Amino acid sequence: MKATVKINQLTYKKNLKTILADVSLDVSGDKIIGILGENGAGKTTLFRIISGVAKNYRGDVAINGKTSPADRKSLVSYSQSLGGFPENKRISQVANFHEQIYPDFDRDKYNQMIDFLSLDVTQRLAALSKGTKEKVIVALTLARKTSVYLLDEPFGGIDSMSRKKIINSIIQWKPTDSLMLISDHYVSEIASILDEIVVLKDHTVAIHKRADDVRQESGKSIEDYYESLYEEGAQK
Amino acid sequence: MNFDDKVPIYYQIKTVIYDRIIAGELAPGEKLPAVRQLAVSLTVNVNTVQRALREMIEEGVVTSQRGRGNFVTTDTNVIETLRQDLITRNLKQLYERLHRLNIDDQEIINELVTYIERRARQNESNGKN
Amino acid sequence: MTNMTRLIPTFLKERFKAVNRLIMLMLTAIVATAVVQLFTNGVSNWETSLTGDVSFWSGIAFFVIFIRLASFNEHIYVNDAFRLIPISDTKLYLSSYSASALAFLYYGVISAVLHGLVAFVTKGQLQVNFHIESSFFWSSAPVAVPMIIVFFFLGLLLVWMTISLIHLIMVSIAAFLPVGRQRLIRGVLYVVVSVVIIRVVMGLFQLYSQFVMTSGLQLNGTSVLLAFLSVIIVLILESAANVLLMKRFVETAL
Repeated sequence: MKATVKINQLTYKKNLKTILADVSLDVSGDKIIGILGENGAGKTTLFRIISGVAKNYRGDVAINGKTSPADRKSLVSYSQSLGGFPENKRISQVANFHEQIYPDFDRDKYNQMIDFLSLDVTQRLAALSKGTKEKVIVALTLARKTSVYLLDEPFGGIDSMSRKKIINSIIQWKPTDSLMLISDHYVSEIASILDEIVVLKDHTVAIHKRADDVRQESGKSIEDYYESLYEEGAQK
Repeated sequence: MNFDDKVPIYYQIKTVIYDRIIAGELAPGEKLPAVRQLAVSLTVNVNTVQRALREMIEEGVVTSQRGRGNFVTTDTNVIETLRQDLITRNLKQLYERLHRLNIDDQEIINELVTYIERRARQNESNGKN
Repeated sequence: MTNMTRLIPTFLKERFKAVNRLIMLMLTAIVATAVVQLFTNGVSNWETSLTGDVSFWSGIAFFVIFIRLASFNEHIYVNDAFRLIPISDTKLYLSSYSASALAFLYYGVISAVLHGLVAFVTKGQLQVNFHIESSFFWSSAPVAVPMIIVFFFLGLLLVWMTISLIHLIMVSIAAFLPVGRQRLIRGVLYVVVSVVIIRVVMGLFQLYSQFVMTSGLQLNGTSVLLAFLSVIIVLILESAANVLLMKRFVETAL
């Protein structure tokens, strides 16, 4: 079945501030889509709404046509920050918890990724570096077999070796028929794996294009193109 | 590998594979690596590899055998054409650039011969060391 | 989808772990106090002091475990690790409460066994206590004891669910407050909401007792059953409110 994420006229406010305004987005197929935008552009909020943990929004959100939060949670694997686990928990304990609560958790696949990323599962969460933590998060997120994957800034503040490993894991273990959304505010590191880009700006979707079309039409790299959007805005 | 992010990635993948075929690194009839394996080794999306493959199949350089994978064509004429195109394209670029600088045809030929001889000598002395 | 039969054991595991840790702490405290008393007071009267120690420390453990399990419940509402579980909010809520209730029941059993054990060791004392009203005690015990336990448990759930209700209302309101001065406004609101909720729950029971008075019911089987029902109705109302708040407003913390 073809994976789809359909968002229609989504508006979300929190603490009297508008975070997302009238966002409509329709993505489908076995693609990797970059959700780009500055810090505070609403990328995380968008993911939280899609995955069903953010509430009280206006508009419609459907995954494979399903709208109920419980259905969405079963169709989406979202890279949560692991903040809900006590710092003294070991990686293996967190993985066991995931295995128990997610019927679609694939232990074999998880083990392969742990090997590939050379993670020591006896390490406690408190002892993890930023890069290692991101690797754990990516392994746990991809270990579920779902239609849609949401990776929220998986490269934030990590070294280039970890970044390469994570990118390779994504290419290798993203299920063929699944749809993946990756958010980032620094695009050059993932530009080569993106099928489409969505730029969030001024609380809404400013651009939604195929990555190769951007290159072909503008003759610019994705990063230059993305930056030019912000420069235009500044000139106004 | 590193891509030039200004050029569509699928196009660059095609170029990389065509170069390998022309250089003989990929022999006629040889099986190409699996799509995912190619994607991982090039650090690109599986779909992008597929798009590149689709175009190579349309251009007749690669043949797809259902369930078995993708193979370099055994039709050496196709590869020869590919090779000729590449040579022509590079020469054309060189010629046009020099021509724009008002360097006449005879001089271009002379310079090219001199350059090739010099490179040959350099390679020879490098080989001795 | 995750089902409850899978979720409850997962929740139970961590709660059991926490309860066991506290039980171990309680036992250590009992033994330590008993040893200290043995040295300071000698062996005379050791039965009374042991019984006292056990009652004191198990009472403390009761409160600590009660609060610890409440914090497990509250943790679930605002945490991605739990709120992302593919299950409806109703089932998540019920699973969490089932696990907490079972963990508490487990402590109850351990505590009862401990008291029984102490009573057995110091049996002279216990017999004296029972002797006084033995005839009445033994005649009504088969009905009264389970009844008291059930009421006790319902009371426990009532306090837990009221805590949840206050917490969930606060989280819901907080999302609509302006960003600055959150702490002050929240502090005031916590007090206000708590007072209001406790008043409402008390009011419901007052209404009920008035109803009992006016209908002239005595303390008999029917009135006990009605009291029982009234608590259950409040529990259901609170749960419905809690689940509704979870569904509509309560988000996980970032």
